[in-house]
This record gives sequence, C-alpha cells and structure tokens, in this order.
Amino acid sequence: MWIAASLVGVCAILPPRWLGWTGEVGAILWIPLHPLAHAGTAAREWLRPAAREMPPADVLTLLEERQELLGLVARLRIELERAQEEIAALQAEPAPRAGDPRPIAATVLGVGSDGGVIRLNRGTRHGVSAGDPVVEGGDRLVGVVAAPVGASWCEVFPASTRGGGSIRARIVDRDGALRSLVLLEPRGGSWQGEIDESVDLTEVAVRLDDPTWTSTAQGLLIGEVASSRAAPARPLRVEIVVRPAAIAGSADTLVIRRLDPTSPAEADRSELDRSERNAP
Amino acid sequence: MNWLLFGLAGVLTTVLDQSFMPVLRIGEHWPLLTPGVVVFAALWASRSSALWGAFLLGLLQDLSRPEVVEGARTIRVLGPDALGWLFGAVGVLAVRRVLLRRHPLAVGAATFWFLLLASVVWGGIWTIRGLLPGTVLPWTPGEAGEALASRAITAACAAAVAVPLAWMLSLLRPWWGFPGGAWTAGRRASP
Repeated sequence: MWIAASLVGVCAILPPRWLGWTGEVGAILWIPLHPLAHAGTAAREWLRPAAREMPPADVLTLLEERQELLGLVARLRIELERAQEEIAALQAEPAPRAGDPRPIAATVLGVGSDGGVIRLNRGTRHGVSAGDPVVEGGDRLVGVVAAPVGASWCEVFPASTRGGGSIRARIVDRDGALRSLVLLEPRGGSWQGEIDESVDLTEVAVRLDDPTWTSTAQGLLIGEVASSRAAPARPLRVEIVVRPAAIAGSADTLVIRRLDPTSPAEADRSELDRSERNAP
Repeated sequence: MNWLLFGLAGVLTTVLDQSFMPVLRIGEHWPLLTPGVVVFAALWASRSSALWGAFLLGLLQDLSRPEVVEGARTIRVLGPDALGWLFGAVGVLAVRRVLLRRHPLAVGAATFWFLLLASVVWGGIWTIRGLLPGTVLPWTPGEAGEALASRAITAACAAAVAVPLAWMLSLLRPWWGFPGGAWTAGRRASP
C-alpha cells in the first residue's frame, strides 16, 4: 500500500513534460466509459436543459445565425484592418486569409468538477485538431481544443479560467465598429485589462483579436464589460473587468469551428505543423 | 470486502459525477457521489481494504481529470486525489469508532470530513507543483484560499447526497462482504 502511495507521490511532483503518457492512459481508461458518460449526459440534458431561457427553436436558430453573422462581421473587420496595415507596409499583394470555418457540433461528455477542462465526443476522425476554437450560441467563445486529440474525443481548455495566460481582444461597439485593443488577463473566471480612459464603453462587446489563435477564432465574442474603474497608480488608464459570454460547462452541446481543410490558412497551418514535426 | 461490487460502484459513480451530477449544479458546484462510496466502505471494511479502496478510486479520479499545462496540452496529474483520498480514508478510520456507522447521517458527516482532509493534501500537492516550470495551477495565483473554500462547498454538497447514497448501498449489504459480520452483528445488537 505505502509503496504504491510513495510511487504516486513521486509522480505527483514530476514536471509536466514527464507526464505526457498519463493523458494516453486516461484516454484508454475512458474508452469503455464513454457510452455510459454519453447516457449520463443525455439524461442530464433531458432532466435539466441548459439553464437559460430558451426561445422557440426557429427563433433560436435565427438568433444563433445573427450572432454568427455579428462574429463574422467583427472577424472580417479585424482582417480588413490587418490587410490595410499590410498595404500600408507596401506589401504588394496581401495573401487571402482564412477560409470559412466548418462547424462541428459536439456533445459534452464530461466537465471537470472545478469548472475546468471539458471533454467532447469529437476527435481527429471528425476533423478536429488541437487549437480549434470552441463556441456556443453562434459566436460565444468557450475555449480551445487542447492536445492531444483522440480519434473520437477531445478536451477543451476553457478560455476564461485558470492558466490560459493573457489574451488580446478588441472592444467593439454594437454596430461592430472597432475600438480599442486590450490585453486581458484571466482573474477568477472573468477577465481584467487596462485601456485608455478616452475609450467609450457604452454598449460595447469584447471580441477576440489575437494572432496566436486560429483565423476562425478571430472576432469571436469573449464577453461584455462588467465594470470599469480608474487604474490604480496609472493615470489616464481605466481598468475593466470583462464577464465571459459563455460559462464553461453550462451548455450540453458546443460547436468546434474547424478551418476549412481547403482554405489557404489551413494549408499554411498544416505546413507549419509539418515543419514543427520535422524540426530537430 | 467485495471488490467487484466496490469497483462497479466506484466506476459508475465516477462517470455519473462527470456526466450526470451537474444536473444538481448550484452555481459552480455540484455534488459528487464517489466520495460517498469510499466513505461507506471506509466505515465498514477492514483497515487495509478501506485504504486500498480510497487510494484506487482516488487514482481513478486523477486519471479522469485532465489538467492543463502550458501550451494548452492536457495531462493527468497522479496524486492529488489518490493521496488526498488515502489521507481522507485514514481520517475516517480514525473516527469511525465514535460514529454511529449505521446512521446515514454519519456517512454524510464522514464524507464532509473525508473531503476536507483530502482537500488539504490536494492543496499541498498543487502548491508544490506550482514551483515546477510549465505547471498551470487549478486556481488563479493568490486565490488558493478561494479554491479551498470552493472545495469545501463541494464537500458539503457531496455530504448531502452521501446520505441517500449510503442508504441505497446499505440495501446491498449481503453482497458487500464486510468482515466479521460487523454489519449484521450491529443490526442484532440494536433495539
């Protein structure tokens, strides 16, 4: 007993890079349990659908389409601005960016009890790969698919919770006009950042504008500005708190926004992946 | 102790904890069933079986819970629950003589105690892991106290569901095979 406990104790303090194998062991262990988890999720969904007021199905579809289009408009404006910057930098022919995203609907198989990683029933077999953004309700950013990705499962790292590091976002008004850039830091389930005090925060949304995410993630809705106050010790700056638009684990079905495999951006990414794999 | 029955109950409740139990979600907390199974066994099984049972089901929790490391990769960290639950079981074994074990409320109280002790080990291991490069802590830096408070609330929820769960598990008492006829002897001795 105590020998086994000691071995596990040693494993508990191993650096993360030595624990890569545990992901595979956990995945194998869960292979026979996935059907049971699926049944449990279905029962939960039946007993208690997602906890928000649900309009009729056709209205819901229209609302989601509207949100998707708003996200698309924001993404296109961000891309347009980047293209204009490239033109300004005398780049003769800016390469076309990002093809249309291909949505993959996925069912939530499990949620970490501390609101952490979400397990979905879609994997490489369905075209999912690490780095793909995951949304709900059309354009509300939930998180990003984490590596490794299984054949028929993947795990989603919620964007708004622990350890995701900072994220670059754009404050956008209700008409989609771009305003200030802001660097957001996760703080206990919400985001915090600083902007110039001249930025008007009336009826604004906060959308992703971070080149470290895939092109299909740009313009997705991160949340709304919940509060603002003068930044301590930094005159002319305002500290804002952004409340996430999506609460990780609250929805039973999520959508993975996969890049269209035929798009130039995906080809670029595949090329990048290959070069990373071939790197010594 | 009947290990087949314990294993089936442990695996089933582990899956339900992640898939079904969020149906009882209040805010960010929902009750867990598996600690109730471990505590029920710890109250009646031999010392060795109780410790092994808590350790193995804790290990299953660790393997079922992906943790994020830098670069948005997931791994499983073995230890926080395996050792935490082992420590919790030691705590339950220490107090089980003074508990009215047949009373379902005793299982609830013991479950709360069990998870509080387990949270101490969980917090300790993650604090040590926080010193390692590339580790992403399960709490926002500087808010470890809030994380422990959150686990205490989850412990209270788990204690609440442990009461009916213990009653259901006790219906299977002829198959649990607890040692020395402790259960049946206790039943006869009671008025």
